[in-house]
Order: sequence, then C-alpha cells, then structure tokens
Amino acid sequence: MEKLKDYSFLCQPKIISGKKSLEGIPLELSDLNASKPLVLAMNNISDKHRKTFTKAFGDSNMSFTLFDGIGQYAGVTAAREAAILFRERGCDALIALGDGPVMNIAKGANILLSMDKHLHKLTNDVEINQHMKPLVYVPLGAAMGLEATSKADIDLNLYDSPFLYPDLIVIDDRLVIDASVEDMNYSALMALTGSIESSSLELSNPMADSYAHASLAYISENITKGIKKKKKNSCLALANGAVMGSIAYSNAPEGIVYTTSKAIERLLGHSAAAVAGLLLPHWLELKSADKKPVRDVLMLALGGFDVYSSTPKKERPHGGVNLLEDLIHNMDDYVPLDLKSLNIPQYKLKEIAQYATETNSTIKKKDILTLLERAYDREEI
Amino acid sequence: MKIYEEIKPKKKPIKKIYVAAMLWFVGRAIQAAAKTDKNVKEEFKNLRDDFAFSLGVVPNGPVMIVGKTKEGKVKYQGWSKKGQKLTLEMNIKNIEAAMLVFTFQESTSVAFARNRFFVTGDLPDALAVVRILDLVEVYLLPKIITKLAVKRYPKWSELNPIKKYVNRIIIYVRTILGV
Repeated sequence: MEKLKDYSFLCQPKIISGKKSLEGIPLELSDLNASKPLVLAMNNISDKHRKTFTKAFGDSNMSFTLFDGIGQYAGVTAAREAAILFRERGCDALIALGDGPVMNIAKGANILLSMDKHLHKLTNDVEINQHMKPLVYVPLGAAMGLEATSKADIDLNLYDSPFLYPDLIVIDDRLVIDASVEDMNYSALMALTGSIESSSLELSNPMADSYAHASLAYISENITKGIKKKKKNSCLALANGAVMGSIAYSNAPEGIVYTTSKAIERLLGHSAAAVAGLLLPHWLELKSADKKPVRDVLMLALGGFDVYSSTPKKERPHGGVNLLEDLIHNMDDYVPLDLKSLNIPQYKLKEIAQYATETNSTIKKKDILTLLERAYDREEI
Repeated sequence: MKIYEEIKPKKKPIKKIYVAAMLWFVGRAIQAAAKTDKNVKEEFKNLRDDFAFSLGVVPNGPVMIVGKTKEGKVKYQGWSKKGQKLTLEMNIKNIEAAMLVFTFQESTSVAFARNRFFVTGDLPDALAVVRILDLVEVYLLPKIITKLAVKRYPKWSELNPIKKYVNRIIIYVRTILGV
C-alpha cells in the first residue's frame, strides 16, 4: 500500500441515484429551506423529459417555473435572463435539468443572484465567497465534465469556487436512458479523462482516487451495454461514473489532456471529449516513456480483480494503458484517428499550446507540444 | 421575450387512495396479529408502555397510527395525528416510494436501505416495527408475493404451515371485523 500523504478533499453534493429518485427532489428542497424552484432546461428538451420531471413533483405542494430557453452555448445573457426570471417569480432554488450549458448557466445565474444584487457583474474576477441559492443538478446523460464540480465555464471564462458545487445531484434512470449514443460516448470520455488525470498525479489523494477508480470501473463495465443495448442499469452506471469522475477531477489540478482538449475546442470548435479520447493514451504512453510510471491501479480499475491479479506486477502499468486503448477503441466512431484527420494544420499546434499554457500556467508549453506532435499523425509514430 | 410558464403539478389521488387502503388494512392487521401471533406479541411487549407509531407518506399523507393502550393492548388508532402522542414517526418520503413498498416492488427493509424512509424516534423501535410489518405481511399475503416484500421468508421450523394458515384466517377475520 502506498504511503498516505497529507491531503484535502471536498465533495459538497448529496447524491440520490436510481429508481424514482426524481420524486425525492421536493423533500430535499424543503430540507434546504426552498419551496419554489426555477428549473433550467435546453430549448429542445423532449416532451418525455418534461412530463417525467413534472409528474415527479405531483402531490408535493410545490410548483416551479420552467426556463427552457437555453441553447448550446453557455453565455452571460442566458444566465442573466434566468436570474431575472428567478427574481420576478420569487423563486428560491435552481434546478438544472440537463448537462453542459444548462448546468453552467444555472451556476452563472446563481453567481449573479448571490453576488450582485443588480444582476450585472459576471466576470471571472468576481469573488465567490459565500453560500449561494440551493442548486440541484439532474443529469440527462450528456455530462461534459464540469457539472458536478466546483467549476463553471461561462462565456469562455472559468469560475472556480467550492460554493459552486451543486447541493444535490439526482440521477434518475428514466432520464439518462434517453441520451444519444454520441452524448454517452462524449460523457464517458470526459469522465475517463478527469478520473485518469486526477488519479495519475503524484499528489493524488485517496479520496479522489476512490471516486476516480469507481468512475473508471463503472465506465469500463457499462459502456458497451449502455450504448449498444440501452440497458437502464448501464445508463445509470454511466451517469454515476460521469458524476464520480467530475468530483475526482474537481479535487485535482487541471491536467494536460483536459487543458489541451479544451484549448482545441475553444480555438477550433472540435469536441473536447473527442480530442481528450485521442490524447489520453498518448499522454499515458509519453508518461511511461519518460520514466514516470503509470500507476498499476489503472489496470485494477479498468480490468477488475481477475485481470489485475493474473498479470505480473511489472506488466500492470502497461496493461492498464492497453486496457484504456481497447476501451477507447470501442468508441472509435467518436474519437478521431489523429489530429491530422481533424484537418488541424501542423502550424496551429504552437498556437494551441500557447493558448493552453495561458489558461493553465502549471503546464509547460513544451510538454503540450510534445503531446500534440505525438498525436498529430498516427503513421509517424 | 418568451413567456416562461409556471407549472403546478397535478395531485395523484388514485395512488393516495390505494396507499390509504393498504395502510388502513395493515394497521388493523397489526392489531389482529398482536393478539394472534406470539412473535408480534413479543415484539410489542419489548416496546415501551406508551409506544405509539405512525407510518405515513409526506407531505400530504395518508397515515396510519398504531399504539399500545393503557391496558397494554395494541390498537389501530386511525389516520389522524391530532391529539396523538407518538413515540415514533416513520415517514415515506413521497407517494411514489410508498407505491414501490405497497405494491411489493421493494421490501420494507430494502426501502429503508435505499433511504426512502425517514424516522423521528428511536431507531431500535423503528426496526422492531419493520420486523412486525414483515411478520404481518407473511400472514396477509401469499408466499410468492411475500417473498418480494420481506427480507427473508420464515422457514418451516420458524413458522409451520398449519399454524400459518390457521393464524392467517384468524388475522383476516379479526382485521375485517376490527376486533
């Protein structure tokens, strides 16, 4: 067993998962002294999701306002609009019925409501130093990595504060089963990235490790069943894996794969999840080549006890990387072969590396360039 | 600017009526079983003299109340909490969770483990009530359904079939007649 180091770990939200878990929201809100939530949702939310959610509030004496005007982009305007509606209707809690932009806008609206009485100031220099309105996150199976964390990405600005954690996460099988195959793949890839990067650090802590390993195990065991057979339990496990991965990631500094993928998404518009799926195995291989061994627990998390115990100790780190490659290989339709296949010109790599180091100064530009060059052309490896 | 609607979700009257009927029947069956079955009698004997508990659904009910009288007898005391001195309150968190329990999709102990209940009072008392509910269900329901509703179905050595069927008839008669 590894020597225990000093660490700190924060996981604010209460998590309710499984059958009829949506019906638990009204009581949980009353426990948070809230009785009139504002529900935020995408503008294309399905009728089934809307009906299931509304029915869950039946017989609870609680009504809510549905703000279903959110598009694909998490901007300040939408956050302000939600905050104004919140005030006008006398709401006292926020529920994000959806992932990605919905949750980011919910967090943005919460910052505005709690930090600026005029609802104007939403810039990343705002100091978030107090508890905010109760915030509930209800995933629809398309998590993009930040939802269950203490971070929010609004108008390309990253906000980070322990007070940004949701208070409650409700994962209901009736909602996550309808996620598209693409969303499930991307959600799994972001969770894999968060989990592997957080548990690969030299300073990783046992709490973050436990979340990361549970996340990896859930994803590797359920990705095929969830995507191909659409089994309720597997979809639920994937959504749980995504939440656990986010929490692990939230308790670790942002890693090189995450930062670089986000930089490519912002500069060139490619999905960060797809790029992360491409970069992750390359990064682990570079790490092994650099004599910074990959922890053998990666194999334990991805392969299970049988595979782990039947593999000689020396081969476990490399075996873990192979298992990850196999897992990502199953998502081939959604992960590019290399950066070249995304039509990224080679001269752009320096620009990407520069942008990434500007957003995360803890990572060296040289390391990012090495990673990008390795992942650029598969034939050259 | 788009007008965003305020949604007032509907009530669930049919589910409430079903759960109310089940609670009424189970409440009276507990009273009957306390007179008929020695294990149920023993469980109540070990509880304090002024023991009274409610089992219900929040926030709007229904509720059943069962308690011990001054003479030490176990009595179903209706559904109103007004004027009742309850030593234990067991609440199911919502009507859908109550439906899972009372349609036997989930046993009482599993529902407890899944945090579908919250309890005000002593936990050992709550667990005694769960054991009593399990025993009552064994008498009220056929084995195939009871197996879904209880943690472990009693073996022959614990409850022989003749005794079970005789007690079942007595409990049903007493429940219907309320004696």
